[in-house]
Amino acid sequence: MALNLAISILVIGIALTLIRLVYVIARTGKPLKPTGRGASQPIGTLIVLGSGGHTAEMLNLLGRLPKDRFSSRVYIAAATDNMSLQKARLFESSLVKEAGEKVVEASQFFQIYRSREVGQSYLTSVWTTLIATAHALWLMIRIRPKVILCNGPGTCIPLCIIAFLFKVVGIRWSYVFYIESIARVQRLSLSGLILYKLHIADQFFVQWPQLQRKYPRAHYVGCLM
Amino acid sequence: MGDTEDGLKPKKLVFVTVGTTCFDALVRAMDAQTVKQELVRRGYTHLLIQMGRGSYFPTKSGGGNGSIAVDYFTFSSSIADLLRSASLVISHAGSGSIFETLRLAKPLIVVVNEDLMDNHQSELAVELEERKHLYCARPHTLHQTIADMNLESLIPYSPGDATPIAKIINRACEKAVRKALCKIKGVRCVEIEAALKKITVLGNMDRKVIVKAVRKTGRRAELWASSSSSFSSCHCRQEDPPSPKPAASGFWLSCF
Repeated sequence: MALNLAISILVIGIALTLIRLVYVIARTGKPLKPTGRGASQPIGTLIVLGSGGHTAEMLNLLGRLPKDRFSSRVYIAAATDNMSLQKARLFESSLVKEAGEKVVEASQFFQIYRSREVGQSYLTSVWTTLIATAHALWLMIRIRPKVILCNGPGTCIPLCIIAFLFKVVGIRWSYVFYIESIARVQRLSLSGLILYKLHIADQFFVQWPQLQRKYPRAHYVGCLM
Repeated sequence: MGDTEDGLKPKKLVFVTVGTTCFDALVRAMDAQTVKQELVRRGYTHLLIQMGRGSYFPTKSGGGNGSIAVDYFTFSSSIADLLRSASLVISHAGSGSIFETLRLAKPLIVVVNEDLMDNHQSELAVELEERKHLYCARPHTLHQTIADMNLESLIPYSPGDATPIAKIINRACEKAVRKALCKIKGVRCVEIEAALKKITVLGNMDRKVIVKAVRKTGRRAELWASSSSSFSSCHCRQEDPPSPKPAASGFWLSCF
């Protein structure tokens, strides 16, 4: 009797989770859901940086976005990557100069363990990805961003998956913008492929028409650089 | 032309950069006699190699006697200045170095590192070569590329623009607000100027209802003007019966 009850609770639980999952995937890419509350609190934007041109592309894009709309920006880069955060700090301080007297919201900078180094084999990267995910979870619980901007470094994978789980659980409904790096002309990067196939990215951008033909859900927006 | 002392030709610098990577194959290729001879034949007088984390040190040389002057260093913070002073840039295939050079409109040969595991870098170099913005080579074919290249046939790269994508990213908010406002009874048109953070709503409705509806989507809006002027583009229902006196109300909107 108790076993039956347990099984039926389990089945209902799984069914509810699946329904929620389907709902979240169906809503992905749709305009942001009304939140009701949260109208007064500042809305966080998480920006994932990475070496090898990713940071330059991202800062180039940020320069074009209305800064006051994407306020309280949080930058995340790999722990092994010192240059990216430095560049982001420079970018932020140039914004402060531009704004002049206006008070600019404090932006935050974090480093995160990397899921895969350039050249590391895919097999060992499973373990390092797990560690990186745990660290990412801790950071995401602290930040809970509304918008996530990323363009390909491996560090964005744990962050985006956690953001997706937050949606499923109902902690935070965030919007993931993925911009594939300009270096990808024929094939998507591993990060891009995961976010595209799993429907995690709400909006998916590519910079070359060849890629758009292969991945029809992506938007072709021309070169950013 | 000024430094033609001792019958020397004006300085023509070839700058080689490997970025933050380790790319010994390229440094070794630059050190090879075949490549140096080809560079001399092409009229280059100086060769400067930024060798990054590599462990192969090229042989330094003072130049003269029809040979090229060779110098190297590991890292520098003034790469941009060196790029600017170069007559030819030979670079690894990293997108950062490629676009920095292309923006300066310098002739560029990109050498693809064949030792990298996931060699996606060649994609970008090959694509840009097809568009005739640069030459693409491998370490062992570099001398051939230098011999065959025709710098006049290269097409200057016009820098890309992030504005279209920024617009799309903005629009996600616009869509949600528009949808919410169009649902309100009496609203006929909703115009959103994302850049000015301005919404204008046309129709017969209570202004408080508009503010409330925007607030319900998680954004803030406040009234800034109210008039009875009309405007051209309509985005809501078309089949609404013409209302006797539609009033336009403007709101400041803060999105996301």
